[in-house]
Amino acid sequence: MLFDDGGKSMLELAGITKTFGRHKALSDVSLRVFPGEIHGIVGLNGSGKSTLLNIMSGSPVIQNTGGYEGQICIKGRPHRLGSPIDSLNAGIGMIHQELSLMDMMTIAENIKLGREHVFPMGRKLLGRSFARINPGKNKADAQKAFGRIGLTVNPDQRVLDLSASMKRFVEVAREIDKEALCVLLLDEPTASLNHLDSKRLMALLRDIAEKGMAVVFVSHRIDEVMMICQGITVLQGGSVRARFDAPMFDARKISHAMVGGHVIKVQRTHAPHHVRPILNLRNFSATAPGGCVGPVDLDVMDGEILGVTGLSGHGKSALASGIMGMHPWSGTVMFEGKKIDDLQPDHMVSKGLTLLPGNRRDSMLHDHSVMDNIVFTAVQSKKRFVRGFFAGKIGLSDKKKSRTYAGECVSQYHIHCRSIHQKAGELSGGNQQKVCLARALASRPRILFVNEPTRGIDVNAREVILALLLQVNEQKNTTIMITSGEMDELKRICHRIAVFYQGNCVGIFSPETDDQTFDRAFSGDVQGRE
Amino acid sequence: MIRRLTGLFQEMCKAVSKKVTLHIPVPQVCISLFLLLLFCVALRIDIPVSWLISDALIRLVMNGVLVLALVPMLKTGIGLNFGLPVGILAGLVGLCVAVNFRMTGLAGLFYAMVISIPIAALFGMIYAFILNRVKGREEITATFVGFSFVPLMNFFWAVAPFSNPSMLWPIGGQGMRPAIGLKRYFAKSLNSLGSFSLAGVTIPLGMILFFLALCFAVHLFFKTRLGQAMMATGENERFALISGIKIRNMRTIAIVMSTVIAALGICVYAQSYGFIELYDAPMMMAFPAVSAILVGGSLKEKTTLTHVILGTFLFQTIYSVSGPVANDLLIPEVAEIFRLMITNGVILAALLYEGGRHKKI
Repeated sequence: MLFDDGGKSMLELAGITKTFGRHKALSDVSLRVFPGEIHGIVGLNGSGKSTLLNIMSGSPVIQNTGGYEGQICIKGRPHRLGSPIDSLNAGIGMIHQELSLMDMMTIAENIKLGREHVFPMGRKLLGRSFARINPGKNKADAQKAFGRIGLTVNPDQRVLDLSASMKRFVEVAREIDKEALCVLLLDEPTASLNHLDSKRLMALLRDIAEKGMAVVFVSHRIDEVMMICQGITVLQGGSVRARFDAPMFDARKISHAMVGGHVIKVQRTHAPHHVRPILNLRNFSATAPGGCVGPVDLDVMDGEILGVTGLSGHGKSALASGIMGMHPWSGTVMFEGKKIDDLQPDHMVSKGLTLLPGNRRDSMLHDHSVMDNIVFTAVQSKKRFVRGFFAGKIGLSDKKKSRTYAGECVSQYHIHCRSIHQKAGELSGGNQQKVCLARALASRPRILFVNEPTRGIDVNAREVILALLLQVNEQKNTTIMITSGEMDELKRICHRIAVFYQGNCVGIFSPETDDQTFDRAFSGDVQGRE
Repeated sequence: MIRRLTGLFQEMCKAVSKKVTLHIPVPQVCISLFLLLLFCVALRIDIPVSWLISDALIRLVMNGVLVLALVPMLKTGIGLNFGLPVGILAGLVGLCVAVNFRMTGLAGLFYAMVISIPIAALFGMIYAFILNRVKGREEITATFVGFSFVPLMNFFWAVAPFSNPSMLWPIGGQGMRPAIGLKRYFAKSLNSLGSFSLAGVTIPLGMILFFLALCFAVHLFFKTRLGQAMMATGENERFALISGIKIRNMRTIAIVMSTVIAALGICVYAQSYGFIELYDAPMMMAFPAVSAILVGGSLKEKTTLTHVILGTFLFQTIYSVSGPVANDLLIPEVAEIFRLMITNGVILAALLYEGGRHKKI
């Protein structure tokens, strides 16, 4: 027991300090979470949120880099969390930002993985490892776990066929199925969900907390944290900057504590310059692993910012990658009035269409420098920054021009890095996204497809990225198609918003349209045109 | 005891790394220390060290080009080129053509290389066609491409219309001999180019410069726009795709490059060895090359030329030095067993350390 509260708290952290080499990632962080409480932890990228969660979940990264200082108590008993097993035994469950499920396994198999029921005779004869698994009992347990979160599922269904939100619920069910679980840690659980799915997940977390569990909720979405949490701890530079208790939450004060200043939200002010279409889709369909789109008819206007939204698994993200020719497609695509017969990524990039995927792992070279990343697509598709011989094919990169351009991007896009030669993989999520954006813009695209540009990044970086997109659209007349589940952001910067339901475009709405109409459109309940 | 010593050594390396902010490759340092120990023993039992060093330098280049042939495919993410025999066989055809026309000296070697390049490019295209169809399982497929290509070429060697009697079976006058002597043609032509003696050590300067020039050409290639595109394909294929790179083309270029360099490699190897070895001889030649690059510390896409040079030097030298030392110290019957046990053991320990460092959970 670290705090004098009569041993009531479920989770107690005292003086948690963690250093990576010379860098102090956490400094004297203390925290208390009571049973039934949902406690929010907010902070900018690099403020130490993930390190704190990694310590509590016994991540090997912490142990391999010298461990941590300070004390952790669960239900008043001190624990040294040196491995994920220690954490599990202490009653801590963790849900990571990225889904960690076996796609080819069933729901029941995923939930019981490593803790399967086996037939007793087999266990006696061959031991637990070689005994035959009892599928009936495992399924019953999976159904029971889902019952606790108020959902009914077929435990034999493969995880591959589930929507992103359902996969998240499987993870929650997996954690609460653990008998000793008393503290649940969630790292950006709603980052990959749209707002309706996020609402479902938050309702579920409230139910779990009411049953006596302590929940630690880490998110960049301040509104969600304020809605669900009873206490909020703000981290800044590895230290506790402020604490807030419900109901004394004030979004401005929380943002101020996180950023150390006020965040100015960007807002589109200009109408598009032209009204002629630049991209026409007719009867267009595409099949991507995350969902299918089409057949759809859509006109993208020259110089506009078009938002594309919908529930996860309803085809919104398949649209851009389909147009880029990255997945099987059918239908007609016309760019600047000319029909494109063969959609291939290299053809489309050379025509001036660029895609920025939502997954940052796919959109950068982590082991290469910031400079190499920024100029890469321009070098390959536009032969910029190349000292060419043999018609530029075997050209060497022009280091001087690349350095100058990368330096300009770093200062213009507020990329926080040690130098342009720092490895891009070492930057924080927000800065990586800025590098990705700088890379996409260096090839001077006519149309920029951006998938989830602000996923998993802090309020400050989010506004910088939205401002950049607006700036590029207004100053360079670049047509932008943003695929996102963040309605607030789409409403602030888009000229039009297309909503997709079951692969079809149910309507294109003005950003001024009210939330209820959008909610109905998400469930395919309303047809609308601007 | 050994564990304690290894632990102490690791701590020392860590401490030094921290102080001078340098990454010290522990496995390579371990093998180097073992090599140093072998040299000390050789010195103690009066084996001429100058001869060992001369041999090590020749073996470095002799095998180095074949190891260099692995780099393009590794950097493009296709993996280790276990199908190296494909390129080797193209090189052997070039060598046989040169011998058939009785080409001698450096010109003969050059002629053999020039002939083997288009043949290797053609073989490489076929090889690339196969590997591009089995994405994700390239290494095992490449192994069997190599294994099946060798018997196919065995048939060719048996019926090839070469006419130089020194290449053909003496009785019957048809079909190639398994080993063709190059002494009268271009054996040691590159070895002796600009070689000189320094303190009893023969330094094959021309040969070393040729190898370094080839390494530099590969290094420079990966600095070009095309080379960068290939490297991006290896590091992050999806990223390369959205950057407008034709993945299939990049993989094909890498495989053809690898095959062509392997063909050049066998030309250098054969002239140094003094024989062209046909039929089943190329079957297992990929394995020493692959072992060498792994010993050098190669981590797939992050392979550098340092890994090639260091790996070939350590791997080949440890083999060439341990032989005479073991023979001198032990009775001949057990010498070879102990030599293979210890040298392969050290290499395995080094590779385990490297693998363990990255897979530790």
